[in-house]
Amino acid sequence: MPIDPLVVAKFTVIISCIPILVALYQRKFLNKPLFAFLTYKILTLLVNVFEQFLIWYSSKYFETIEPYINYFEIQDTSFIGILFYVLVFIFIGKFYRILLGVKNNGKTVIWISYLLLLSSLVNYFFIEGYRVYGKFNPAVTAIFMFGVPVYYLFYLFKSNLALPIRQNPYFWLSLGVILPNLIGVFLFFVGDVVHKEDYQLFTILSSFKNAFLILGHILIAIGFWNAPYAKYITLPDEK
Amino acid sequence: MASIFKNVFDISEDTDFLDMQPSIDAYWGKSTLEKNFPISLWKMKQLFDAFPSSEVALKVTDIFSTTLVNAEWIAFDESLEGVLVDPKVQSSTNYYVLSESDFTRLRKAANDKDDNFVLIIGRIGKEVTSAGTDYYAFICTGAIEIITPDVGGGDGASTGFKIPPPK
Repeated sequence: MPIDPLVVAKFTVIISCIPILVALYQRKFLNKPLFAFLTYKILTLLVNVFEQFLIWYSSKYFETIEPYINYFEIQDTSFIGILFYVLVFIFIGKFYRILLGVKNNGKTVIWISYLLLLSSLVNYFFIEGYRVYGKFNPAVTAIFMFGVPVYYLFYLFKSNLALPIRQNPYFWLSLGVILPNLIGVFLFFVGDVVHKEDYQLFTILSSFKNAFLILGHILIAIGFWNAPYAKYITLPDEK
Repeated sequence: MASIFKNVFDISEDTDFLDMQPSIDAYWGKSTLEKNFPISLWKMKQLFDAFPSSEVALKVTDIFSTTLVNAEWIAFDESLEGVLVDPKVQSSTNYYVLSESDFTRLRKAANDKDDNFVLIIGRIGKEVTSAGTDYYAFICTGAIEIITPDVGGGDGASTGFKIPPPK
């Protein structure tokens, strides 16, 4: 029996509360980067809840919102997607700027994130528009959320690790960011070919994204659980 | 007696195209209640090749009732015209006939699409005037869009879901 995607989405939203609850439990250990990451997770959760509320409300009281839906010619929740991209470029950009520091291209990361933020907004308002899921915004977000953490992990493994990697909260958080975007980036580059050659494989890979998203939340929860060890990690700008 | 319409009004400007919508809404009462009648391009070509007259018709039955109305695409043979003038034959049926030259012109509107995904769509409208009610068939082009799962970044769990959700 096929699984209802809406049920999977609700389940994913519920699972996304776990890292937030863990972070709130460890709140006294949260430093600046961890706090930026927690803010990102909370705001993302709020947007997801709003999205779910809108879907529920439209199924019950569609006639009350129909004039607005018709006026703006909206057919789905794609118009909300921009909020997720804005949060990524602001908070994930800030998170890695602090972790990398000025010496390790942290400033470049923040400038790239501001540039992508601006491009996404221009694309949303003037190019692909707010009515479609679009290609550019999801793609650059996936590439950013895959590339920057990979670059950070590369820097992390190059540096002298004073703390075992399994106790490093930033390692777990980066892994949690990379995992769901890995499949997103992969499908963006080869999705068209896979879709034409083997549709079944394409749908399997697409459903992996949800599984990876859930797994990502668990890895992020592990990251927050290790927040007490953050004080043993000297950030580049603190040296 | 069935009614046969062979007069084609060319709608090629965007503004003209938008003008048909009020007529369609007037017929169905509300845009969301509209039923349309598509046929794939390859099937349409087969119908044109069926008879030497190379005509295809949208055969609309019970056009006076939005509940009962139905339409299908058929190969239209000129010899049919002689039969359809009989008052006892298909009294509540309208034939909107499309010639091959009009069809070729129509296809040009969708020449950026893959032929196998192009649809010809029949739509029905009406206009009420002091002289009475006129019924129209609009013949448009469209394309099949294969819906694929959305991929990319971001943590939106239900971004892109239809509102209201399908029941």
